[in-house]
Amino acid sequence: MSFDSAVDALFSSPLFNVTLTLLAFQVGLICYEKVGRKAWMHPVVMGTVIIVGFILLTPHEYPTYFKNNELLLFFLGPATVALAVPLRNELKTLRGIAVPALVIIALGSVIAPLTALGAAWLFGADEQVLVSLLAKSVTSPIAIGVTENLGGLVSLITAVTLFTGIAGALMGPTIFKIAGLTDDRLQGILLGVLAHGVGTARGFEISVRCGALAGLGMGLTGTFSAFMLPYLKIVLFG
Amino acid sequence: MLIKGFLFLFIFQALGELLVRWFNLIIPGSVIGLLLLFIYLLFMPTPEPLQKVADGLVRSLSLFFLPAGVGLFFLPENILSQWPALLAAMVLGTAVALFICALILRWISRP
Repeated sequence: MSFDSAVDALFSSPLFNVTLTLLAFQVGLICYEKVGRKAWMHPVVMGTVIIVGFILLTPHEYPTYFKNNELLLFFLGPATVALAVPLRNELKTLRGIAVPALVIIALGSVIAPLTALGAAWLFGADEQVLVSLLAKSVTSPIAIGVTENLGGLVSLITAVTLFTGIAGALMGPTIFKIAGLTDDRLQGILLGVLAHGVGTARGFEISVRCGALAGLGMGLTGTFSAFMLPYLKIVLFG
Repeated sequence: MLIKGFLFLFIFQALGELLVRWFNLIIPGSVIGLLLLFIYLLFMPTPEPLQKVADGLVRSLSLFFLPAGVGLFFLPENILSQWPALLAAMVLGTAVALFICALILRWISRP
């Protein structure tokens, strides 16, 4: 076997492609720690840049890369189930704000897709893109499952949820100030509802209970959205 | 330890997948699994192996969707050309949602 065909064989193996993902993520994680866990340097941002660069600079192709990473995608399911554990642990932090929290989780889960679709529609998005935006504020493992079921583009929703999270985490504190929302517990809930995992990380920078409640908001929004979004799609698109 | 923790997650997900197929639900089976595990944990203490595995998974959640996220750069041309709309949804849409929700929260939680 020539060296070239040996490389070809390696490129189309799960071992190589999963290693590429793990390596890129690890570098992303190091960069993220280096800049002090800033939302714009989320490990996925740097990780994506590295993998995209690799695919563009070598004869490697995206479909081959994606297909050989099915092993990692498999773990999205168990990772979603695992969200039940922090959800259960953080339940007690809800005491005293349960009613406003639950109301805003229900309302926010509807307001987030409506404002996103409205904005995208104003800028001329077609129906396939609009359907793919429905789950944009939902935590990624759930968003991927929901979008698949609704017939949206999975590769689109993954990136869109991530950058929604980054945008929400960066803008959140400023908007809370403008709107006069000072309770860090309620700020936390909102960060979780509208900016999922990235918002939760941001919440922990504000205070521990802010972060814990963001995690709770993220989990409940994801679960509620999984049930609600199929109906919202029917209302909006028939 | 590791296997025990994963076993918990796999079994609850499998139950979720079963219910989804049985009742023709359009919800991911893993979400039903999440709910079932949550209900279980309301009545039972969280087993140590499950706590460990869940901590690890939740902390590295973003690793698992990295392969799909890379797909953003390899989208069909007709989707890529709609980038202004995507940007508007992510930035403008999120800002407006944050503002509206913050106002609602202030209003419903005032003393």
